[in-house]
Amino acid sequence: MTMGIKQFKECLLLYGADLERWPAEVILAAEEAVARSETCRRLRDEYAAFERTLKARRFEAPSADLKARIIRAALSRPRMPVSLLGFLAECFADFPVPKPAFAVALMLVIGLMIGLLAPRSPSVAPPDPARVQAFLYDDGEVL
Amino acid sequence: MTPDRPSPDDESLLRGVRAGDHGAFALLVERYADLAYRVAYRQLGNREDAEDAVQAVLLKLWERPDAWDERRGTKFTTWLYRVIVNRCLDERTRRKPAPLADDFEITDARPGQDEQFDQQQRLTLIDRYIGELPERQRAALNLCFYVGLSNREAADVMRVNLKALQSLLMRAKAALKHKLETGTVRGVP
Repeated sequence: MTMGIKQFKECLLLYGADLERWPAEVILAAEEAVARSETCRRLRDEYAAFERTLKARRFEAPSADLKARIIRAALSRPRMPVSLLGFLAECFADFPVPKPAFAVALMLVIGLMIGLLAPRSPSVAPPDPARVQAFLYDDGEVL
Repeated sequence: MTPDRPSPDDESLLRGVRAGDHGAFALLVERYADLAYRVAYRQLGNREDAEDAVQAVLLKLWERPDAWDERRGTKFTTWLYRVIVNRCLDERTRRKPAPLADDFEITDARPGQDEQFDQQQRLTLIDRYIGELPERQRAALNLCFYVGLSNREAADVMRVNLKALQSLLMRAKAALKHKLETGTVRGVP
């Protein structure tokens, strides 16, 4: 597979001027492009100069006592207890049950328990004839 | 003479932190404060703000020990980078961009002028151009170019897919390259 100029430019932006750091699947095509094309060589050199410019960006090292300050500050900080959700998750962490399967099983168990504990007598009372009459003859008119 | 014990891995230290072991926390700080600082500094551009961000994030880990949970499948370093980057994005959103100093001079980039270009001015200009990038482009550039993460790792940190990360990175570098070429800064000799 050959690499065109456009793709070569894109790869330069993505992976840098050092071709050895490019992904294995494009590295051969890139080396071939550099060997074949004067434009690719020029682009690579330009990009290397661009990277050197960016690398020259200033950097201030952290204060020498930064770590000590953080470690010391922690001693005076209150700690929040591990949340209930976290605690429960930790309790169940040792069970190698996938979460969706666990949730379905839990719902089935809860449903079964509700079914077993529900009253066995019919919940719909037989119609009261007097109430039916009152409903049908509301305000003295037949509905 | 006792042989050197291997240093505990991150997971053991974080379990120690969860259990309130201050020594484990201290080891974590020793191990990761510099790394976190590097990310924060590149994102914020000055030492004071970067140190504040690092301190806030690491202390949060101590105060809320379940903030990082290994069961969520995220590596600790990925989580740490992510929290630092998010903190820096928030911080920069709160801050107003610094105006150009009145005596800031844009130097002509024509041949022959390069020698007169003061190194300090050059670095200031690079910082300015990077500072002008959109936040997420700058984060992608910092993570990949300055911190040295792979594109995949940076995508995980920023919670975007690989294509999106690559798009951010390409746009950031293309914009910078264009500004440096057409603006004032030529390659460092």
